[in-house]
Amino acid sequence: MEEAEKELERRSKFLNSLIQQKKKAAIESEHEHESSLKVDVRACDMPLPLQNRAFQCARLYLESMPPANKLDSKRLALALKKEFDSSYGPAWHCIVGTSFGSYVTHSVGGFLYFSIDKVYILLFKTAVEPLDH
Amino acid sequence: MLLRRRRFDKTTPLATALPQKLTHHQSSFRETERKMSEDAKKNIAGALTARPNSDDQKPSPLPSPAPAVPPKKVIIKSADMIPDMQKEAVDIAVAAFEKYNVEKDVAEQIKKEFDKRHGPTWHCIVGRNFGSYVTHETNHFVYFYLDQKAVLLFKSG
Repeated sequence: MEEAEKELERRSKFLNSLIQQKKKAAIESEHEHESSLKVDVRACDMPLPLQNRAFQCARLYLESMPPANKLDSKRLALALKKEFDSSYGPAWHCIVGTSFGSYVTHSVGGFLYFSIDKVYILLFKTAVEPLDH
Repeated sequence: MLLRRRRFDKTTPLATALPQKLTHHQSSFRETERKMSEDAKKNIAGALTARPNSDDQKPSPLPSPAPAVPPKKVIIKSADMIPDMQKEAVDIAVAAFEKYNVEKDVAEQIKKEFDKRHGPTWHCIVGRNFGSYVTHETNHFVYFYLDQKAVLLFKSG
């Protein structure tokens, strides 16, 4: 009978620890969800896959920085421009900041203006003519 | 190719201009990449510093009853542009800031004036806080400060 009691106690402890782990995992996933940066599209003329690519690139960059750090807008602009130049062909231009206005001419299907967290990002494409040979 | 012109500011609702067909007249296109930031400290040797309206000031024996508007401080942070065109950009920007309060209107004025005078396609960004990374035609790029506002003007496409 003592052996049976010990076994029951051991199983009970095991189940309790499983429950605790589950709770921790749930809490962590909630935090993770909360920390996801919110994206607002302000103006757009761009296919959805390209938009998502821009959001992902910006989000990855911002999340990789320590929270207290000041935004390095030109690095983010560089990262986005280079990714789009290499993936979708030249020439892309990127502006990142918290306070600016603009007036640009862009290629059809190559324009996106969105905000993520407190940063505003303008990404647009212009036609490139080949060099004369 | 059909191009679309678009302007916006984060504080005002957006309007989309009608599609417009642009004709390219350049016989060649050479790209250089250029970056700048609101923190840019690099100064070009011999960079242009201009005091607009200084020619209009004349010595007078008595102090003027109306206080004169102080000339805007101009700092050319970075340029790949002939000096005459740089001065033109500064002059147009000064006039635009006097005429408009909203940054996107200033940007619109500058871009349209350059599209008219030097052929399409120009792009203009105006603001207190922004960084950028763009590709521009050789000899068609300028980035300068007017007091606290930065102006980025370049040609591409």
